[in-house]
Amino acid sequence: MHGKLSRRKLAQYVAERVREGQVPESVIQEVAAYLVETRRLREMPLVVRSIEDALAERGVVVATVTSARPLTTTLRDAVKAQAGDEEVYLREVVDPSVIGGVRVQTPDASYDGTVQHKLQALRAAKV
Amino acid sequence: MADIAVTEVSKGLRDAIARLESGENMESTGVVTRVGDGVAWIHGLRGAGYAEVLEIQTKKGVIEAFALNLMEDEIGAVLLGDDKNVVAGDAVKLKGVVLDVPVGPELLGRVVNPLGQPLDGGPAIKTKETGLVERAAIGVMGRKGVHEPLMTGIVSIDAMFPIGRGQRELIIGDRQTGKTAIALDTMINQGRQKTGVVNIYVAIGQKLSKVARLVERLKQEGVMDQTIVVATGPSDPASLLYLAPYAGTAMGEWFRDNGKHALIIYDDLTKHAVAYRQMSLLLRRPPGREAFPGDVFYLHSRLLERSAKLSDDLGNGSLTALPIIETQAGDISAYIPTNVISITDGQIFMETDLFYQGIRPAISAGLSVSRVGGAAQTKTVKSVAGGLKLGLSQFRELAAFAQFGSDLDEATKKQIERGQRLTELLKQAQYSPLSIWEQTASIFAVNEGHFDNVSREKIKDAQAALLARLAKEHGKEMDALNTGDEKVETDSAIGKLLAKVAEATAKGFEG
Repeated sequence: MHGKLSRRKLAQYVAERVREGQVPESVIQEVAAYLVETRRLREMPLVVRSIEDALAERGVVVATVTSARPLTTTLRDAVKAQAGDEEVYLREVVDPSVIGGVRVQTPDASYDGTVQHKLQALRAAKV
Repeated sequence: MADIAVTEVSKGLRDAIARLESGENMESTGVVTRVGDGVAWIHGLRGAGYAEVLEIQTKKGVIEAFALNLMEDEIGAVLLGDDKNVVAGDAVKLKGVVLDVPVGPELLGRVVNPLGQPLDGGPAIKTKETGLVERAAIGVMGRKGVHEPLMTGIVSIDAMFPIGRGQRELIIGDRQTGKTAIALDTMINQGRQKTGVVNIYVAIGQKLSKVARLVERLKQEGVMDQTIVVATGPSDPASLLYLAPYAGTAMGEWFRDNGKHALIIYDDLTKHAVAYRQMSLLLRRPPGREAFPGDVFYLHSRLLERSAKLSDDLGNGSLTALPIIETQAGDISAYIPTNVISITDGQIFMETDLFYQGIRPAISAGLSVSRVGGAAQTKTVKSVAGGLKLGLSQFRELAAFAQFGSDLDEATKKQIERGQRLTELLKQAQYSPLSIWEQTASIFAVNEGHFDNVSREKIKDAQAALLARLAKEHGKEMDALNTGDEKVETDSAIGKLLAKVAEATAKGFEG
């Protein structure tokens, strides 16, 4: 077997395949097998992040949206527009502790418009 | 009344919230994947630049770090604060700037850390300008040859290894040989002689008790108001030790670039290299000789290259550097000493043996050299220094025969006697730098043989008496001599005057 593949290379491979239309399950199985064989299971969360990164580079973005109440369709469209990529998939999290507003996290960027964040910032600024 | 207060409060609150709005744009973020030993590894933030400042959002507030390893999968960043509060999963943002520190005259008289924050318990430092910690050195056309003297007040240095403004002169020697003492005396001399040169003392991993003593001394001598102390202790993170000399240089560059003169002392660069080695090894850079990383030469060369004498077009300012290196058992051929010796414009080598023989400052005349300072020596000191150098080098050649005593011919005996007296003369107590006329008169008196009948033990007393007498009776002539423009020759008016007073003084100490 050839030398250690970097996470970036691995992620790019997965992203390419998925974009080419290959069934994601088969690619994922392949990568899982590779990680087991090379004893790199501990890197799994990072590999997932890298895959999301690589997909984002190709215009496919998985965004985590946190809000206090479930999103309405209009809001969902607005969030998708904000992310600005061709294909946006939303992973929706409802968390009452954010009080209001939304927090959007994409692999390499974030936007925090929650009331919770503003309160924290106010506290830090000691107004 | 209450109504108004309420509207004001709500307006203030609204303004504060408006200021907090970070715009509608997405901010690029990364995440901490691993942290430990003052180094954090970060995933994401692919737009980060080299040495760019990162903000890690921890539960206990923001901790800054700077990116040093930009790799395919992750960024290795060195934390500027405590790593205890940083945990894997913390979000990281780009600050969008490279490191800078406050610079300007507001810093004078203060003790600060490498980030420009006060350590002396004084008020916060508000400066008009900031300077980049890492900055390219000035180019060829912006420079000028070193030509003005920077008087240390130490006779053996000013006479034999003169330092010019803009020069980099290394002070090297074992522990406890008086390296810092020379640097401190030089700082004190800038105050005593009112040269207007600003002192910057950079303590790199020095015991804080030592720094406190030094600051206390500078205050006693009244030099603290023209001094900036950048202090880091042994318990500070390696990142701060690494930054200290660069931060100090940025502060010195402000004076240099504004047509003023500054003197910077790095105490010491051995500890700086060790701190950088620690950071590099933790960042998993490959170790080289003595486990130092491959770029340890560049570490010091880019730092010292920033000390320079500027051209007339750029305002004629200067930054003189006195880096200090500690050797182990006098070994100057170790890695870091050879590097810094080759970078600097000369070195002052301190010897343990001399120190214990009572020759203090324990400067080794054979191994010390100043490569550019000759052009900067004042005419006055230069006119008497030639004889001093010659007398000492003849003495060194003959010193081995000194024990044969009476078996030697008259001429040899005389040279040995003269050499012993010159060696005695070059001994100088700490905190007592001498001015130009004091140095000149002392060297002249011994070198011209006026003190030949004074016994070795009484040379220092005779010197003190001579200087007291000259100051009292010939103050005007000495003030003129102190400008440094006048040559002292045996047949010139000033030479005759010095000879006359020296002869008269020697009478009281004969036998």
